Amino acid sequence: MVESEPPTKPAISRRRFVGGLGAAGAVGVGAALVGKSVIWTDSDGSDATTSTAPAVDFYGAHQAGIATPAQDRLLFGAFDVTSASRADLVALLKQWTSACAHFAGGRQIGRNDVEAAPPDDTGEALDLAPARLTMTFGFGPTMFDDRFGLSGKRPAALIDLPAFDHDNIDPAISGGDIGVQVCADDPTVAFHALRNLTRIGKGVVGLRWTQLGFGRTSSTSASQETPRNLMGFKDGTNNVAGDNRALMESQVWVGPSDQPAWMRGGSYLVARRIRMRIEQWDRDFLGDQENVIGRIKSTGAPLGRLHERDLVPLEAAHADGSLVIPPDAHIRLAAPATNGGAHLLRRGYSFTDGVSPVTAGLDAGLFFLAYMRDPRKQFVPIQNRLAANDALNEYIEHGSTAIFAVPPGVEHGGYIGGTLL
Amino acid sequence: MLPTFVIGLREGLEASLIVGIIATFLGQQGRRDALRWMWAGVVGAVVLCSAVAIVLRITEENLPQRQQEGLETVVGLAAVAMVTWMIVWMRRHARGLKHDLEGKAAAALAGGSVGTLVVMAFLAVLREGFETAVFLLAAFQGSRDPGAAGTGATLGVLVAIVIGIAIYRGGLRINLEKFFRFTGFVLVLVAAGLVATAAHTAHEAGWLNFGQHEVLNLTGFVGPGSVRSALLTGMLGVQVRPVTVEVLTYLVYLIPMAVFVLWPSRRRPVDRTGGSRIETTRVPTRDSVPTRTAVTVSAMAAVIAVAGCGSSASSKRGGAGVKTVAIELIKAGCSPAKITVPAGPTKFEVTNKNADAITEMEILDQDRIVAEVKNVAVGLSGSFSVTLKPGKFTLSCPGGTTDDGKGTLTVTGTAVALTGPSAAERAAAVGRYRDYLVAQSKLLVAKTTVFTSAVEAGNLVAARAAYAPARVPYERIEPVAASFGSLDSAIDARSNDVPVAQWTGFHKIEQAMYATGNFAGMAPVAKKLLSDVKLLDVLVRRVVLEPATIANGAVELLNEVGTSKITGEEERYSHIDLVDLAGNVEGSQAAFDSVAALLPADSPVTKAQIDARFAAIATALTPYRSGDGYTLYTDLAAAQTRAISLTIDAAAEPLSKVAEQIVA
Repeated sequence: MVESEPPTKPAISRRRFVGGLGAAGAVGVGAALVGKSVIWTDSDGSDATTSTAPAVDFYGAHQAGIATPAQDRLLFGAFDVTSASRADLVALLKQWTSACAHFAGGRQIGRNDVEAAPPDDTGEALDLAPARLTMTFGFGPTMFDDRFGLSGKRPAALIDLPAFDHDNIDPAISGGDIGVQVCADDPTVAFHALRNLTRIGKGVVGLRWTQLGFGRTSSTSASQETPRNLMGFKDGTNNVAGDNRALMESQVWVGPSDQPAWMRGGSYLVARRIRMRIEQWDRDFLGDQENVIGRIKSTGAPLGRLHERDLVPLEAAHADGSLVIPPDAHIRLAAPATNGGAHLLRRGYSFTDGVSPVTAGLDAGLFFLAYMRDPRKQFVPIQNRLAANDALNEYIEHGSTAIFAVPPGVEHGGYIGGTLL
Repeated sequence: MLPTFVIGLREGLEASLIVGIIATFLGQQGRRDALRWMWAGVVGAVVLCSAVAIVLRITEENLPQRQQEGLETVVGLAAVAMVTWMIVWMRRHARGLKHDLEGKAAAALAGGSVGTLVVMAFLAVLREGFETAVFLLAAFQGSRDPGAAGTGATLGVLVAIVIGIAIYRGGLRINLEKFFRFTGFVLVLVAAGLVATAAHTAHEAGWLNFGQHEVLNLTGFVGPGSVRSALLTGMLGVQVRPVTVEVLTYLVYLIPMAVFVLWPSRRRPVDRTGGSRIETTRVPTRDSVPTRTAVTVSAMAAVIAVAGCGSSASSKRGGAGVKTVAIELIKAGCSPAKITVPAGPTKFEVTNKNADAITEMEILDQDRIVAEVKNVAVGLSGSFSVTLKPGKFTLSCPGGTTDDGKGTLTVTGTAVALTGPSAAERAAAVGRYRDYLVAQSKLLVAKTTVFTSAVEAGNLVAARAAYAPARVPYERIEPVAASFGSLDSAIDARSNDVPVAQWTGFHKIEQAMYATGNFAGMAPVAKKLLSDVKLLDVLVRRVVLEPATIANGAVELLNEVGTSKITGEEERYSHIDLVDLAGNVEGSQAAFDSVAALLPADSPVTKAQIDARFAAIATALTPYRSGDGYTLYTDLAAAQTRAISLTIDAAAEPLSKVAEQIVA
């Protein structure tokens, strides 16, 4: 006789769902594709983890994952909306909001103990810490066609990015109706979040492309050491720090008098997959590598200076009159001082996606992510200059492009994109 | 008297088992009217056998001494050959006998002929009866007391008939494997004696003239007329003063046969897959690489298996009354080997400690598998859940050294009451799906007949045209077909699913029609395909279904789409994957439609939602319709299959939540 003790809890015959008509307000589901919208409330959360590891609040005036000190890992996902129903979309955004709040807190969603049903949560993040998980949502230009009645709401700043010199863009890994930047200090936690968002979204959205980033290349906080990118150089020393309130207000957040109103407190995100020609770069002699970038490889100091955070001496010249930091050096062309004061909050990640079948070279580089208040005044002019002149162009190639309007943060009771939809 | 008793008992029991199985089968099929004819066949066979025996006996008596000895030799050797064949056959088939016969019986009925069944009964009894006649004749020759021998044989047959009836009525369970092993050993002794006797009579007939030196003289040990003498010569056929050739032939027969019969049986692979044995499997084991068959079998068959055992397809962990039973696989078999549990939802967690000869555990009701877990190799574990009804079941860990790994499971108490939708509503849902299943199965037989006729006629054009229409009904009910284990594989395996030599079915012919050009050689494959499909048509009528089974089957069908249709793997030569895909989707929707009414009002997944998702699939497929069928898979771009795939996923997700809502 090996029978186990009978369970003492009463039978739970059905999942306890809190219908989608909760705090978020009535949803006109009607004959829409989505049945009852499912919102996971904390009362379901019997499976909350006991972890007290750092968690980033999903709710707030701004979306998390922008000013948040850059986490170690990234998984970016771009979705296309497959349903033609606006009600479906709104219901999904509400479900996503509820799920995100659970994931950010390190909790599973739904019921996962019903043997006759597939668990609601896919489960791989159970027992893991929240790992500072953030999920940052943005809407691409294609959202503002006539499918959902949003064509009048497209921000002027959400331009279709122009083609830049040397671009070699693959449309299959570019664009998307909805972009989600998932960042965490644990790659499994990040994967779990995007996987479950995808699963929840079946029938309303379908994944268009994803990009895994294995290591951060930027610091967005004064407290973080500047990391190096795959070229071996410190990257983003003069990045916008998330706690630099003045710079965030002027360069990153859409301001209180900017249009459209639904974007106020939000930002714009540009994503570019930049492959590095690693083999060629590795064969370039050190002095040239340093001239291409404009920094000393070992210390990260600007050429002609001693320390990483020393002011970049853009005017300094050698005795023969040539500039210490060459005219085509990357840091010169990208510096705010040479771009009319335009900054970008960079949040890029190193990636590697195996081996090029054509060259046998590593397919690796930088997945460039940058947040800004207005791409027309920031990313586009800067990238135009870089694409035309940057010495680095010999060693890099832009292979994808995407731009998203990142709405403001979600307040308790609200939902992702609630100011738009 | 004992040898003839054993012969009568054994042969009689075989015959009555076969007759009993056919009678049961006719009863289940609602053809009690045909029982009469079956009995007529049995009586006819008995009469014919008796006639043969009498003719042989009379012939022998009227022959001169020398020819009489010759005939005795021939009859004796024929008897030895028969008993040997019988022992070997029974040893291989004791456990699968019923399945084997049911398969044949089902195929016979599928062919529409009760006459075939009657002939089966007639032939079965004739075969056993003829064996009995020849064997008894040989035994009579060796017996000193024909009266006692006759009595023994008659008693044996009578006891066999009583046992047969008892088994048929379900009141008696005997371990057939053990029974046949013991009687088999006795028969080996008797047959070895017959071999020696045949050597003796052959000498007297003047046929065998070497090795005639006396090697033993047992007269001192067994005085004439002693009990020992009667035992040795009368029963075992041993000569009191044997010569070399008699001893040699005796030993040459006895030793290998005794070893064969007594060697502990370890299931040979052929036993597991051979014939039309019906298997239901459940494959929840981690680390097992799911073959296509295993995967398709798992979801639906699991529930079928479970449903066969009890009332509910699944149990809820954390819910009231779910018991967990831990079983360890050890070298001896299941541990513990005797278990008593109260009725109700029960989860069996099976761990293989160190039993390298065991990889599975089954619960058997008589010899029917009601639930099992497979692929539990050493160090692995697996589990399955069943709702147990009160009664006695067999635990089986095949390959165990003690009693072939058999144990007992006693389920006490009363059956668990159902909740939720009324039994009538649930029965109506099952009825709706059963109607669909049977209709599709009929269609499958009809369309496959057209297809296989064209193949047999060597008409390539007609065969190609008939191929897709035959595939559709199969794809609509595939998970049910897959629950019959090897049958799905026989009908629908792709070239890499089974060893090349065992590859049969639709796709083998597909390859011949579109790729290899070996179309001319496909007639036998077509013939077998049609008979397999007809067998399926019989089996689907008997499959145990319940609402949750059907809902999970609906999901399984969409999973089929995602794993093999949308990838172009299923129809890799003809590229009609979209035809199959549409069949899967139609079958899935029909399954869901049958049970949708059982969804409770508070269900988070709704009929409207799932209907809309199915409609989206139909919309996505519309551009690829072409005549009666669909565009070839090879004409689709990745972006197009992707768009279809998204709609499949979109329907499958909410569908996967249906079973939970309607499980009893």
